[in-house]
Amino acid sequence: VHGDSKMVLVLVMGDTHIPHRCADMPEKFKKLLVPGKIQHILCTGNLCVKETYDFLRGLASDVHVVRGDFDENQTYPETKVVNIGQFKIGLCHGHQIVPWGDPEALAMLRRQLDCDILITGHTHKFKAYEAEGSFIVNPGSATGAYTPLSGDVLPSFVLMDIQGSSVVAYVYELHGEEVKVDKIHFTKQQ
Amino acid sequence: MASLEIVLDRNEKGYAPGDIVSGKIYIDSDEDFSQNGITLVAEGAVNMQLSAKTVGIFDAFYNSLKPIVLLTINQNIAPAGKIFHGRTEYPFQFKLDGQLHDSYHGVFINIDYTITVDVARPMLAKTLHKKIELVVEIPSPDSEQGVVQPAEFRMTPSSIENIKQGSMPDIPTFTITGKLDSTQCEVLQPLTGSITIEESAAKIRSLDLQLVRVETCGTPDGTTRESTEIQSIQLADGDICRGLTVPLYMVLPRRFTCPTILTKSFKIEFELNVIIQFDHGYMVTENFPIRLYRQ
Amino acid sequence: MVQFDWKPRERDYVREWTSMEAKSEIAASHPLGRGVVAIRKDSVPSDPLSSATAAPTKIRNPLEDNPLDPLSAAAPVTIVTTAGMTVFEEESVENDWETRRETILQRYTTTAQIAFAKNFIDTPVAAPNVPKRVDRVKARLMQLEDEDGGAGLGPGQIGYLTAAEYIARVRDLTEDLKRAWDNEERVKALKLAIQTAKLLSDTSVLSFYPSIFVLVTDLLNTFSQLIYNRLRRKGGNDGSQLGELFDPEEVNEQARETCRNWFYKVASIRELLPRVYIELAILKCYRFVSNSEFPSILTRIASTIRGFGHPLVAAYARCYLAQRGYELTFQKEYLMSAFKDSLFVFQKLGSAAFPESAQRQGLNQQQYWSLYQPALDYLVLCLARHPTKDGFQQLMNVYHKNRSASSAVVLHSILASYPAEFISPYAMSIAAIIKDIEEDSYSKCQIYTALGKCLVKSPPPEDSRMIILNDVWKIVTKVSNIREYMDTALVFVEYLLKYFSDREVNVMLKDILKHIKTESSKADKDEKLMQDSVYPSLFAILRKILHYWTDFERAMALDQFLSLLDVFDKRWKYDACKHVLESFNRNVMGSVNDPVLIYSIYNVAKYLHDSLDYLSFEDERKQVSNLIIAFIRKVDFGRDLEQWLNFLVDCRRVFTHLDPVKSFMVMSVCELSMRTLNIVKGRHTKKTGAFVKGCMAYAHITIPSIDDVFTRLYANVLCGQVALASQCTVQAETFFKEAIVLVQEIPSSLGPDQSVKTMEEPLVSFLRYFASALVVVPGHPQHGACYLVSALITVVNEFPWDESGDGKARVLMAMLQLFSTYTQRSLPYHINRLDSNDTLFAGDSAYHDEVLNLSRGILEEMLNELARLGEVDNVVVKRKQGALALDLFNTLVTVGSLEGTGLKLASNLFGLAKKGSAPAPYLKASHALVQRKAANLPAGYLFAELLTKISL
Repeated sequence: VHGDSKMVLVLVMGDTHIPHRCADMPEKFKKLLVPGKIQHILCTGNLCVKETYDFLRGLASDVHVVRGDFDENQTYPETKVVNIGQFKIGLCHGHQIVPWGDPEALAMLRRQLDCDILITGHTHKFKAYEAEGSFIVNPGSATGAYTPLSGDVLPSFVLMDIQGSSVVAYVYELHGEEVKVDKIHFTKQQ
Repeated sequence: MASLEIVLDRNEKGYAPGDIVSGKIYIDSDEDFSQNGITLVAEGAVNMQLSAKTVGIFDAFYNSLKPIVLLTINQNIAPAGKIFHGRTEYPFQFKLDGQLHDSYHGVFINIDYTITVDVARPMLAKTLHKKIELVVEIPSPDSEQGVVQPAEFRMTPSSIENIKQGSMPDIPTFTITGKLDSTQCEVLQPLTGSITIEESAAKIRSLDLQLVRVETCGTPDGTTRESTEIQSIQLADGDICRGLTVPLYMVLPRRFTCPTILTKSFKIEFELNVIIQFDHGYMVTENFPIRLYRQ
Repeated sequence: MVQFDWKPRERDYVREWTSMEAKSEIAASHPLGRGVVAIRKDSVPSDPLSSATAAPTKIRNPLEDNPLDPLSAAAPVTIVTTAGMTVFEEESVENDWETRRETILQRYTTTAQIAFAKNFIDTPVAAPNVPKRVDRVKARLMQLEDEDGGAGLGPGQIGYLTAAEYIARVRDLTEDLKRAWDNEERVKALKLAIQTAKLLSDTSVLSFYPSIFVLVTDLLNTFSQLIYNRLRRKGGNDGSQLGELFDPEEVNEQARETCRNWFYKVASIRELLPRVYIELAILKCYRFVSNSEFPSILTRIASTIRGFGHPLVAAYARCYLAQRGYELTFQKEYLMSAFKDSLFVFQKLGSAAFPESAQRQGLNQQQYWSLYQPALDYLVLCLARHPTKDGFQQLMNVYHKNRSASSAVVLHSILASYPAEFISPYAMSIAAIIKDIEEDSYSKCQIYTALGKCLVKSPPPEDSRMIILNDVWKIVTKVSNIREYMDTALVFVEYLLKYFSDREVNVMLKDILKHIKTESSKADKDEKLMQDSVYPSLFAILRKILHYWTDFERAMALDQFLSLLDVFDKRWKYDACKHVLESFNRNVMGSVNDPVLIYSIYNVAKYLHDSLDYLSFEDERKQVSNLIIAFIRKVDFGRDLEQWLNFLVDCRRVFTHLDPVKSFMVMSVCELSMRTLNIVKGRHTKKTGAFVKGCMAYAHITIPSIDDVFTRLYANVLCGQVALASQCTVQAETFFKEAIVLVQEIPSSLGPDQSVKTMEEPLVSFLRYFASALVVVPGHPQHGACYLVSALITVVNEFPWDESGDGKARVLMAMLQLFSTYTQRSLPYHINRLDSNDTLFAGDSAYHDEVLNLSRGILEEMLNELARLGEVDNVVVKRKQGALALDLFNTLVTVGSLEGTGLKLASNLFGLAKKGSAPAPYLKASHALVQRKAANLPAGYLFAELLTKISL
């Protein structure tokens, strides 16, 4: 249980597709992601092999993963709800959403899961917005793996700094050799 | 229940004539009781016994020699009175004087000093009684302080005395050399020296160093003289390497040795034996009379 | 019953997307960057791993760009640990006695029976003060006679124990000792210690002697500790406890006297061996009396040990001397004296140093000398403490002067104990000494091995390196004992790897292979020897090569390297291949394109693959799969796509029975296709187009060979999309059709332990995924716009869904969502350069009608499903019905329309959801949604009306 004043860092990432579509995480990201900084990891799935999961376990002991379409591990759940601080966070890979990434379909999923933040992936495209008083996040693909819809994907992940009832989501995107970091604020309505 | 204890102020070192012996008497009791007087007796004597072997067992029994009294001290520690429960403490002290010898525990001669305390109690209650040993250690007079007197030895088949020449023709060849650092020894210092098996055709089984006391008692009928072992120390075990020098080393046992004493009525002397045993049962020894003194 | 209709809401995805963008700003600092975390560090729950972040507390100059922030600095460390660096365990130095004693107990054992007193404590102990007549020395003689029987016992008093029983017996004695001590039975404790020490005078089972030494000294050390602790507990002023490090002056008189008494007691022990051992055991208690006399006491004891007739017994007594003296003084004179004595004895004894008794016990010279090794090693190790060059030279001089045939064992100890950098400069002369050692007295290989280890750590002068190698190997190569040869080779291979060129390594490998081949072709080949010694050493050699040569091509270029793999037997070859592949994957950074290297590794991988069968453990199959996948992943022919595909074709030919590998190969051709598309920037040439078709053909052939049905399903749909991306619509269709057929086949292909039920959840998930994939799939010119979807719906309807489940309804809901998408003017996503239905059938009312018609059918089917669920009398199913109704309600109000029958349908569904106890928060959120929409007038008037009909 985390107190309100404590800063909690939550890494949100997924769709690495190693080794199916990529050999490894970008070096620049690996340099940023070192053990001991992050308390929780929420993963949108498609880690594919255990090695990637082990890598995440090396960063933080609390790792939550949902099943993607190419996950070797059959025991990951389709959806998951995780409580961190004051937030109830829903997690789903998103290949089951029809059509993929549809805001209405996502909003419905959020109502189903009854969460404050909904995290999905699959589209390999970073996205974050507020809807119906909640925060919808897609961290993109941490490796920049292709999708058949787009061969050109920017590697990205999101780091949520949760303090009390507000979240600062840092968006890390790799543009060529440069990591660009944006941030987005979200405050939960009481 | 009541108990009695005597504690000397000095414990680590023996007392010599002229020393003040001081200490405390402790009476521990869990109830009050009355006593009819507390007395302290310090006594010292040379006790001698004849060797049964020399004079026969009955003679030895009946003719034991009269002890030579060296010390008698009587003190009244406290008059009759009451002792309260808990610990009661009585200090005492007396001066040690007279012609004394070192404490010594031998076989035929014993030189003992004791302190006895008695707490007399009214009828029906047992007298409280406690006896402790008082250790007397007297530095030898200057004239008897030893000087370093090394003794070297060399043992070969031809040097053996107590075997008639030719009676043991198959005695193997050997040469053993050695050295005693001094035949005059301080009682608190270890005996030291060295021994080397230069050569030996036969295998060596054991090499021992034996300390012997020689006690002589004067009797109306003459004197008896007995040698007994005090202690034996193995120096080598098995067929040791030729040419390798092994140390002779022995710590003199306390109370069982004392400076050599030579008086008209009794004598206490010491000797050392170096004993070499060969594998097939042969044994040769080398004997050294030694003189002990105290610094 | 009312016929409900489905009207999709018109949507503008582009506008929706852009309105749904959260405001973002550039982050000047962020939690993974330097600074931010450090500032907030206090509020982070303490975390042992974050210590690196504590460093930047000093004030930073914001203008100064420090390229190395603490986070990046910490990163390489992480990589190292996750990579799992290889550490050669055989190189760890065992310095302390604790690890050595364990090794001794394991190594020196016996199958013989060892004598042990039956009633141990009751045997007479020499009482120093019982008068004994001098003229009765005969008695002493007889006593000595008895001692030949073992530990001074008469024949009736001896029992015989096995090694294990013996060990247990001495451990029991230790317990007896502690018990006696606790009961204040000091004399008994001492007697026990003395009797135990005497066990060391029994040399009747030599091969067990080192172990007896360990057992006995363990007990003596315990004894010593008991005395020491007792003295310390009451040794301070007024009987207080003394500190860990105390001065003799702090010790009270009583403790000193007690201590002195112990030493008087020990000094009067008649027999030499127990006297020496007990004095050494309790020597550290002398600290209560004096601190300054230890060097002289130890020197005296060192010379006293000369009295031990048996050289082995003496050697171990010296070992105990070193062990006990170690913590008492830094002076080494006594050790040097003990060392000299050892050499003197060996020299004096000459050939007699190998005693007849050892031969009688069936020991050969080498075995006999190996008994000395632990004792001498430890003595020399203590001598080598805080070593100086002068000290080493002095030691070597002593060694030279007193050297003899039997002192090889001492040389070995020296080489094993002194720092390599002292030894290396003398390597040539040491090699010469070793050459002169008689082979049967001591294993030359063993000493060469010790020398080799020094050479590895510290190279000899440049100009002598080769000379030494030649000198040594001239002899080693002639060694017929393959175990010793391999041990030596293992060390010298490392010497070569570190300081010589590949050519020499190759020559050495050739020699090694020759030896092994000779050995394994022997008629009387010792299979156990091969398994226990030869193969492990060879495996270690292989590991060393790969450890030193992280550049893989270098190892592969050695013509002997791959032959190395072939001399192993099956089991070992498997492990060796696995190690090669692991090292390749770990050490080769980036990608490889060297055909020779690839071919070599390919063969290694093939061997592993072929060694597995269906009996292999699942875990093993998985490991090997991952290794092979990692290998294929590393292969990269850049723009030579043809070669790449050819390689994958080769792979498919051999890696036929590992599902993950096959699935990976399919993924690889997909990636190749997408890469090609990138290279041509989305516009295929004839050639690249053909290439992609080749890739797709490859996938088409490969997918059916995968066992797992879901892997096949997803692979087909992915391939279909990839084919679409390259405008291969015909190929794409094939994949999608394949997927539909597969779904049809699922029920019959289920294994005996699987039911449809277990399949439902993943199947629903897949079908919904498929539905989303179909969004962009263009309709067929002849078969119609929706022929794939229709086929899929048919399959779904025919599927034997679980009677009490909501699987079918959830799939139908996806179809409804799909159709609502199809009717939009523009689809939410597209494939680059591919016309989807929104373009193909723009303004085509027949298409629109077809979709609406299909939607209506689906809705009807869905309502049937809802009704069917309502008929099942089960709480769980009721709840499913409720949730499902709410799902449909949500879909209706968001992507459908309330016009026409919609309003009534919506209120009915909400009522059903409430009745079926759908989750309350979901119900509440759905209600709130309608409220929000109702507020958005004028479009919201229907929602306002709906609000009046639904209540929470």
